[in-house]
Parts: sequence; structure tokens; C-alpha cells
Amino acid sequence: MERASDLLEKYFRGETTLAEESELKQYFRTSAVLPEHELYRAMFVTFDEELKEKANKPDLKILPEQKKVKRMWIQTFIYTGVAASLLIALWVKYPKQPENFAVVSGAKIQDTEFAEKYADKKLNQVNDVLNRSMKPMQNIEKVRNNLHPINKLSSVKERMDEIQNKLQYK
Amino acid sequence: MDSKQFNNQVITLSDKFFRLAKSILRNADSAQDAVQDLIVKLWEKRGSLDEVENIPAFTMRAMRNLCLDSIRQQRDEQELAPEIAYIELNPHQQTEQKDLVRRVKILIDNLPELQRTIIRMRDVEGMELSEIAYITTLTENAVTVNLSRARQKIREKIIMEQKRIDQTVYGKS
Repeated sequence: MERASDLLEKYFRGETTLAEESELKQYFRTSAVLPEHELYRAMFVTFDEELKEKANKPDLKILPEQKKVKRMWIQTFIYTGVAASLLIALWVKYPKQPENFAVVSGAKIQDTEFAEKYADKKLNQVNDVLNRSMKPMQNIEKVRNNLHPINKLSSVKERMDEIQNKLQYK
Repeated sequence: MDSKQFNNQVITLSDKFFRLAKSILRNADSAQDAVQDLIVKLWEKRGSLDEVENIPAFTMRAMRNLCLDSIRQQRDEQELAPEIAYIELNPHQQTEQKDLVRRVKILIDNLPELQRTIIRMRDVEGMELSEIAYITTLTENAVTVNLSRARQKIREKIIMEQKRIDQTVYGKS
């Protein structure tokens, strides 16, 4: 009880710790309070009573919504980034393998020997076609060569005309 | 801070906000409005709350500032109602603890704002001096001085009232 008196004096000087104040509150909750301390009981009961006062809890639903536009932009940015990262990871891990095959009439041919023979055959066919196509050109060249003496005749004729003119003036 | 974190870290402090607001404003309805106002403001700025180290102390400080702003605004509009006068109680009422509690509440409400805020933060909420110092923007020493003055004033008034009751009921001098 002497401790209660000491604590009370300390309390009114503002020097008690929270633990000591808790001890005092507990003391005033019991019926073993000294008569000279009784007048302070209401003070401590008041503190207990006030602690029971509750607020009406605000409802989160009534609070203004966060601006979703900003969040959607962020989400889009994140998803795009993730998708791009996945694609890059797949590309790095599984690069495109070179494929050895030829396509003949829409069919894949993987037999190398067959493909080479087929290619040779086709190239020969192309060669024949070219040769045939060039034949008329060769004939034209022959005609041109044959015409060469005729071209010479025109120059002879010009020379003869000159001589004739000279003779007439004389 | 998302709604779940906001609920856990801020909404759970609503009772403390309410008691602090009621202590400053001395009116339950105004206190409730102030709490709602604070919650909405904190919700709107919840993005920056992640940077706050001590949410309870920060929000209690915000609550006090909001209440003080509200009082200043009221003062601009009209003078505050005069402080509650001493209520004469009949002998029957005097014997009831409920009335004693009510009278002590009135005594606390009649203290200057800073003192009644500090005494309630300490004796009702059980806050550390350092927390109270942060909320009130005082030094711990100044908090101790104000706390001591508040308790001494209440003690003196309780003793005075007890003497008055003794004189009225028992005729003691």
C-alpha cells in the first residue's frame, strides 16, 4: 500500500513508466484501495471507460476507387514485357535448325543423290532449250556476215559517182 | 499500399483516431466526421503511406492536425461554445461512480487542448512519451511537463470537488 502511495505521487509528477501506470490502474480496479486513495478511483475508471469508446468503422467500399487506367497501363506493359522475354528465351534456347531437303512438285526430297540427278537432268533440259532458242540468232548473224560485201558496194558506188562528176566538170 | 494493407494498418486505428478526435473536438459527432475525413484523405494518398516508417504515430499526428484545423476553422466562423461549467450534482448522484466518471471526463475536457490530448494519449491509449512527442511535435521533456500539469490540475479539482461535496453533504468545513 505504501508502494501505491509512492506510485501515485510519482504519477502526478509525470515520472511513472507505462508499467507502473498499468500497476496503478490495476490497483484501482480492485476493492483493496486505501480510503485516502478512493477519490482518485474515478480518474482511473474514467481512463478505462474512455478506452472502450469505439468509432463507427468506415466502410472501405465507400472510399473512392483507385484510378484503374494507370493500373491497366502498368499491367499491359508488364504482360507485354513478359511475353517478349518468353519469346526471346525460346528463340535463344531453340534456334532455327538448317534443313537439308529439296522441293520437287511440292514434295520434300531428302535423298541427296536423287536430288542431284534430278537437278542435273533439269539443267540439261534448260541447256537444250537455250540452244534451240539461240539457233535463229545464229542464222541472223550468218545473214549479216553475208551482207557485208553489199555494204562495200555502196562505198564503191559513191566513189564511182565522184569520179563521174569530176569527169563531167572537165 | 493496397486495400488489405490499408485495412490492417489504418482502419484498425479508427478507435484511437476517434478517441483522439473526441478529446480535441469534445464532440462525438464531430469526432466521427473527422475520422471519416482522415480515412478518406489517407486512402487517397495510400500510395505514399508505404514510405512511412511508423504508421500509427504518423496517422495520429495527421488526426490531431486535422482536428486542430477544424477548430481553427470553427473559430473563424464563430467563437467556440464556452467551456462546460461545473455541474452541480445532487447527493444521490454524487454517490454514483458513473457520475464521478462523467465529472472526471468533464474535468479532462476542460483542460487546454494540448494537456487533454497528452493525458489521454498517455493514460487512455498507453502511448510512449516518444510517440506522444512525435504526434504533438514537442520534445519528450515538454510532454512530461504538460502531462504532469494535466494530472496535477485534475487532482486539485478532484480534491476541491471532494471538499465541496463533503461541505454540502456532511457539513464539514
